[in-house]
Amino acid sequence: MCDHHNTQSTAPETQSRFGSRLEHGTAHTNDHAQWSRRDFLASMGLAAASSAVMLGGTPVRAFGHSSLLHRLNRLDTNRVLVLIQLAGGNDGLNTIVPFRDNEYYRARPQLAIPRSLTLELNDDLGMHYALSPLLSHYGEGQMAVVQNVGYPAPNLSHFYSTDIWESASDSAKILGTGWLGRYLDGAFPDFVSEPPRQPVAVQVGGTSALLFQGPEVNMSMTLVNAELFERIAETGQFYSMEGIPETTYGREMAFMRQTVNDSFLFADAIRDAAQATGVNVNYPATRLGKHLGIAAQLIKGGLGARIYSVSLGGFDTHSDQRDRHGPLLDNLARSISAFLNDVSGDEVEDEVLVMTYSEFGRRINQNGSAGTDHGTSAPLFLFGNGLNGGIYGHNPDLVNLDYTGNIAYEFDFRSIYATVLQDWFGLPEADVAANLNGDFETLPIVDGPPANPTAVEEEAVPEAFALHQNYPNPFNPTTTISYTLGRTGRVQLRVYDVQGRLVRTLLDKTMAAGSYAQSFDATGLPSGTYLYRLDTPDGHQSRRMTLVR
Amino acid sequence: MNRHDFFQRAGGSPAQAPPARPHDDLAPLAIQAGLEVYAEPLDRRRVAHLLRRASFGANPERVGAWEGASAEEVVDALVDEARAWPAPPPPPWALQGVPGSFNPDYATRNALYMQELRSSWIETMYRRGLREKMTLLWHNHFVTGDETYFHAQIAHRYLDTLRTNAVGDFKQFVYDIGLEPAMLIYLDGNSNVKDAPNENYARELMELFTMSPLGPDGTPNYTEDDIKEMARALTGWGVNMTLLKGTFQQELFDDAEKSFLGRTGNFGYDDVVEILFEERADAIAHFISRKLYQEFVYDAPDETIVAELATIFLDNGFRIDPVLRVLLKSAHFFDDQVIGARIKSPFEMMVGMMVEMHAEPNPDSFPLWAASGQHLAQELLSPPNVAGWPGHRHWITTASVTARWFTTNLLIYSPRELTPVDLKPLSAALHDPQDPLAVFYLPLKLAEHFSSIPVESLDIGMVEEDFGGDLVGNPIPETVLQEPAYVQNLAKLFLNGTPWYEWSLDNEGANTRLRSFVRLLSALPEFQLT
Repeated sequence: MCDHHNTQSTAPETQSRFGSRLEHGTAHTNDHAQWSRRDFLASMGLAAASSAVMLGGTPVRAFGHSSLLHRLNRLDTNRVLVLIQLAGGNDGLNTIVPFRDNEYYRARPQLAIPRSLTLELNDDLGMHYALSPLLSHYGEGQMAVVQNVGYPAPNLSHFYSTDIWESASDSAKILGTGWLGRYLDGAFPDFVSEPPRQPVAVQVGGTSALLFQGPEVNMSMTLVNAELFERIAETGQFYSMEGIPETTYGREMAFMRQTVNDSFLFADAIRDAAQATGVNVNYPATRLGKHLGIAAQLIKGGLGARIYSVSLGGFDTHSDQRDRHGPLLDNLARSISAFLNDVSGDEVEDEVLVMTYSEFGRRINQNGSAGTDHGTSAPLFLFGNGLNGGIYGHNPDLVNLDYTGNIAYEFDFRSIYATVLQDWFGLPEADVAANLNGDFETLPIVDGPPANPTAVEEEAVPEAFALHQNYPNPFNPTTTISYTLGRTGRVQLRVYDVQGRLVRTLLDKTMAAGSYAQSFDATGLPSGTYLYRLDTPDGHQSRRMTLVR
Repeated sequence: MNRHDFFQRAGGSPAQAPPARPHDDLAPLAIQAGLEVYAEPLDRRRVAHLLRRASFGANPERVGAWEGASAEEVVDALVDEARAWPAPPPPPWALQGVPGSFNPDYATRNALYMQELRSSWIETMYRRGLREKMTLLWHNHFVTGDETYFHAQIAHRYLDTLRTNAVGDFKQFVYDIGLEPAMLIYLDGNSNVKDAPNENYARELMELFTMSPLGPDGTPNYTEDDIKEMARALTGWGVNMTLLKGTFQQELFDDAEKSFLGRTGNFGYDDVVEILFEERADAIAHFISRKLYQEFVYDAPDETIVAELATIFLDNGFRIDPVLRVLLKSAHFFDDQVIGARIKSPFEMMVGMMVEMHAEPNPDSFPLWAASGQHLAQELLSPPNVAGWPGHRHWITTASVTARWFTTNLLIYSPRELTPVDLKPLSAALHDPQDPLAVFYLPLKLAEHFSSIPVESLDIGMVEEDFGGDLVGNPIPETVLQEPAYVQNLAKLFLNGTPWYEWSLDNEGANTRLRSFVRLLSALPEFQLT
């Protein structure tokens, strides 16, 4: 194993391996490249490519992703999604007030917002007065309200319902990965083997890990607080080199922190983006304001992350809602407004979409402590230049309720996700359905065509054939590889080990157009990663599979 | 004539000292505590320290059971247990013959056997602590690699010999290991014959396996002539590929007088071992004691402690377990400076984390951990060279740190399509799930459980947001507000904004939070320390 330790001295603060710091330029790149190619190739679960990195004369990395995934990656977009979690369950009825509905006033004698205090959006609905900073954005078509968003068989537990929203699961079974984790895993298929220099998703503040959990790794980096952001912006250091105990174990802590700081390339990208643009001071002095300000600074600074997430808590207003809900909405509205104004006028102004989500809405009837208990469906908000502003959906029906006695859902939240993935990020419909485990209708919220569709056309991958992921995977000892051919031609389907040696030729003949399934029996082969490759007259495609005994 | 004089008169240069290792300038621990038994009852942190160092990871049930016990009692239990464990059953192919010539089918089968052997070793590490910790230590001491001997049957025998002797008699160990086919092939004993001597094994036997070139007082332990002469005495032994064992062939033995280490005679293999331990007892005792110190205490040896251990080793006729007992019971070992001062090897990290997560690993995953050992630069049964893995800071590079994060992520979330780990049993073992305040203390317990470094010293960013939920109706209990900021912060990170009063280990979302919290802990730089 290559070792650059020779320049190391004892004092931790002077430790620096050659090749380990950015200022060493190429050496730094090589340090990582070496890892990516040789070690990371099939890290874990995937067997070993220690020295040979050639597959049939072509560097293995070229096969690291399938053409399909490659194509998605090429849907290169500057578009950004900023997610704002309203943790605790935002009371939808007091956010978008149905001021013509007597049932609303009957159910909430103390809590209902009088019509006179709402900011009227149309003949039936008005915003909570605290949302006044958003009114101008609504007027300019920068704000969309989607009514009655929920899901079938609603769960009223904060924990469970948050997980449903973040994983985009059916309420029967929570998936272990997040919807954005899956999206980013597909969009950055080389995230593990060829890590990008910049984070692809940034969480500002303590937010969810599940949201960005991909099938293999978590796809996000977390800036847990503004202080950490400032430290990185200033020094590029993720972990503090201050305040380490002056003990032997402290010496080793310093060594570990230094090495981790050195290996954390994302910190450099954060610092560069932060320094590229100034701090905007027009945010409210709240944590949400600060966190959205950080997101805007990074977006404008060209960080290149595709998704940012921030969180505002405190919406679980079981008691004294009147005193507590207004300030939350005030903070939310002023922070969002400051954010929209901050990016407006910048070249990114049309590339930013903001979306709120909350695990559920609240009960129609107020409870005995001047608050509201857990409900189900509620409105969701989107903001940005690139959308068709207005109100989507019907006024909430406060009479015909779902079986939990709450507002029935009109839109499955996954329809909104589908809209974001398909119409905002330009993900093909089939991939959207795969991500969300089903077909969900999109809403016409996004204005204009999806992200950068021309890139798809530029990519010279015809739809003439497709090689699908084997099933099951991992497998033992048999699995099925399916593929589709657009036209008749001679095709080969071969299996290689990760060192590029041909293991098996499964197919080598002329095939008619159509879909096929080929089974592969790996009896007698050692566990590990194998690559299977389909060669057709129109090109070739490879995928990985894992044999586990 | 003393050795120094002898060396001068021999006119050679000292057997070349190994090149300085890059981190060899580490200062030893500066602590007063010596080898006297640690007198206090063991607190949780110290029981965990003992278990992490003397086995793989801190099993939470053991930590709970041994909290408050004496070092004397706990260490004796660990060592007795290690001595009592029977060898695991041999694989069905252990005695299978090997073909006389290479064929691809056999090569494939052999690769499977090797993988099976590595996987089952990892599983054995998981199930049996100290014995396998010592086995791994000796693998890195009496190094061989399968790239030379190839056959899994040979690897199995070799591993079995390491295990058999792991906490036994070091002299017997030296005797046995030299006759192992793996060693005879790896260091060319196989081709060391009367008319064509090969010095490889003789050199490493002295340089790496028993005493190193320089003795405790800095004088050379042996000369180049000693190596040449000793090599002659080692002739005649080779590998019988039918029986797959070391065998002696008289006609290949150099049946004449040899002189080494100050002794002269028609010596053979047995005499080499006897003479080594008679003539260089002190040097051997120091060298092996230093190795044990570096494994169990700190990479930079404290020579005073090493010398005391060497005396114990000598007094006990080179038995390993008495030295282990004294060292592991000592106030030195349990000193605060020692805890967390060592960098985990890849398998300490992986197997330790499996143990600490307290969830039965999926049996299908073991081959993957074997493969990940390779990615983390610790491929079992294939160390980089005869000097073994250098260890400690050498494990850590910018690349390997990233790889370790990836590995811990997989340990928690499992490879695709295997079930993610269930952390509820661990949580229940660490903190009473019925405690209404469990949500504030379980994160702290988890952090303490997974970190050798005191939790208050970790650089975990402070969450700026207040606790989520309805804090008017459900104010944070006063006892919690009295806790240090980091305790509350851990709870906030754990909850991620979800209301504290709804937490229960029975929640369907419980494991999601537990897993992401453990992921957070495992990504801390300090997680790599033990």
